[in-house]
Amino acid sequence: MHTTKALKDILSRRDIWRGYNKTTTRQVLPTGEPDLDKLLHGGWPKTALIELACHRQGIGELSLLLPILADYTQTNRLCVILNPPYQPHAPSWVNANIDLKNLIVVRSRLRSEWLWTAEHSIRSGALLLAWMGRYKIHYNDLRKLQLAAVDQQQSAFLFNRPANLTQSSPSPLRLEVDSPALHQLAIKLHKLNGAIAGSQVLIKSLLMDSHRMPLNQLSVPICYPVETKTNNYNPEAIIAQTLNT
Amino acid sequence: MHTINEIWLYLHFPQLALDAQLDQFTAQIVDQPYAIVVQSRQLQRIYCCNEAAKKDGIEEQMSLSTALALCPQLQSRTRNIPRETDYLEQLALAAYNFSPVVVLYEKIGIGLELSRCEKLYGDYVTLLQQLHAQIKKRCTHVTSGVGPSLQAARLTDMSKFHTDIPNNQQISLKLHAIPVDKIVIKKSQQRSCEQLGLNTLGDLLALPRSSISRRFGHEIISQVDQLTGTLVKPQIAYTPAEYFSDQLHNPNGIYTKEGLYVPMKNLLQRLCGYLNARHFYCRKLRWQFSPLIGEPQSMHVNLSTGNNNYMSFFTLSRLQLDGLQLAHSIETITLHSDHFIPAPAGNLDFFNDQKRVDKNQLLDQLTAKLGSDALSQPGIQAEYLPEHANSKTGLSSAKGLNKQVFSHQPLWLMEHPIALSGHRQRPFWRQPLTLLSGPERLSDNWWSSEQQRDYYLAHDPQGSRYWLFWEKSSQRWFVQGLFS
Repeated sequence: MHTTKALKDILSRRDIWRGYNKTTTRQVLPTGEPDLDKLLHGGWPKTALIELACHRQGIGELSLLLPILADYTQTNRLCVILNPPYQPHAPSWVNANIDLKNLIVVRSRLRSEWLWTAEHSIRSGALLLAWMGRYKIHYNDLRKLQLAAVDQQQSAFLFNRPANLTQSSPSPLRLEVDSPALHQLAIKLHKLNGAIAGSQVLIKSLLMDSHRMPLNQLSVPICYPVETKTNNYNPEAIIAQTLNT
Repeated sequence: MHTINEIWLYLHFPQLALDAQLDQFTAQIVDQPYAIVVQSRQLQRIYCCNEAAKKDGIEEQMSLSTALALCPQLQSRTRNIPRETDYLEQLALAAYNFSPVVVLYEKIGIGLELSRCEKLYGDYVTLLQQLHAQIKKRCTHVTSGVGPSLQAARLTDMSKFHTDIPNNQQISLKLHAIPVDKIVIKKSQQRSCEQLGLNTLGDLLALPRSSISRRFGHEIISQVDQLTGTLVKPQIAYTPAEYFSDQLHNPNGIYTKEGLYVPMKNLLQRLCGYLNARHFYCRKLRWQFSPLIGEPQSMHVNLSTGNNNYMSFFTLSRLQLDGLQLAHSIETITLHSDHFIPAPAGNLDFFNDQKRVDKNQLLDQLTAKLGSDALSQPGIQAEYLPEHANSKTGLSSAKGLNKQVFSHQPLWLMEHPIALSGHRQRPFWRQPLTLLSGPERLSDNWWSSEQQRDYYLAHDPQGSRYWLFWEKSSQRWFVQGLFS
């Protein structure tokens, strides 16, 4: 009897892995993609470190997180972009309804700074999007981030390489992102409580303006202006001429 | 019996000279015999000594040589009057949080007018207990006197710190019990008082005013009126300084950064007392760590918004201190601040069950830990060329960032466009790229070096999509962004 109660207590803990049991209630954030929501049992888990292993950059991996970024920044919550591979192009982020006032880009110089920033951002309630880049992040480090996410009931996204998927990780959700064809994202589930590893969904990631218009077919013919030497430019003569007329 | 209108509390610090030099920082040496000496006719005399020295038989006015003969372990320092004045001002600042009328009495004591301060604390006992606790944080010994005027409070019984205010009748009785010789009068007048049997102020007050005036002159009448509070002597009220500056010394030196934490916290608590007194928030702190030998090192802590919480200041200072290379041993720590804003009249959360840290607090902590260069915010400039339009702004200049643009552009932008190989029809970056759409023409910078670019969307065989442009002047392809 006593053993049963002890077992029940253990099983009621949030951090106990329960295989295919889907009964555990989880707080989720919708991804904006119905198929992905279905794969993730409702959306991004709200109290978890989420690993996204991307095969390549530029396939539309970041567009998966634009809805959550927009939601966070529009509600005046801070988003920390830690060591992104490139510089965010502000006009596009604004187009995605992201309030730039609540977006902060952090560049760490050392691995220790990266870890401190990641953990501290999560613990401060900011939405973290972190790129591991050249740093080697160990299991214990990921465990710290996961604990911070659980403590703060806060999602955190970590972009790493597919090679990292072979190593064990305390992250409750691990996804592999690839592009099997142009404008298509394949998202493969590697780890999620209550879900079958290996499940996959395909998502379209179309660009809005994807038709090509060659220069010579433009409705308005465009000619390059005739080269003018800058030496000919004489502002005083132009002013004198204007005054005369 | 006249009515008491004002209630004055006089705080006396018998060991002010000692406290000013030993302060909290060096509390560990309080148990050792310590004395402050003054030069008097080519002889050094004890001006003030602590309890440990008194136990060894050392007394005030004793010559230093005699004191050393009695107690060879005695440590002595010369009296430092400027430091005493600063120290008294710091005590006055602590008192200023309890009463709006604080007076520095001849640079030796502090007077507080308490008649209108009872309501805030509920009763005088609570007020005085809290005041005592605050003052005791800074000094070893404090006594007090209460009276209808500052002068009277100073002359009443000051054997201990009184934690209650006597009623009007008791105050009157105390006033009447003040010996006449404590009033500043001439020696001849003192003798006349003795001959007339006038020993206390009460005896003097029993006489008709005209009689006192005739016998002792008009000056004594005004003095008595000042003591009873019927004549108010103008006092220069204490006001906190325009800036905050305080320091702590440790003659033994501090050898670790962790060792600096306690004195730093003490200084920050004092700063918060100052901020509360002035209803200000602080925006900038300047620390100075002075070693025994060598140049002092400074550290500036900036806050994006004002604050008056000492733990927030401490967290930021500690984070910044981690990255600072300090001298081997630090003897003096100085905290200076003169960048204040009025404290906003904001509302506090009554239940405050949210664990979330304030956004600005996080930004300040990140700046303190990583430096301001490590943080940036994407912004939009009124420029046509994408690398100029997309600006990295510092945190403080993050305003007017949002601007709706409708053309489709990538989420990532390279720091500088990267030149590609390949001919006009087929750009090449690591592998051949296929053009998806375009062009979109941009023409800019015509006044200096004209930039004419045709922008295209392209992809590689693996599905990565790029933002390319063909530059007319150089006749080359460049990649500028990634559609992530």
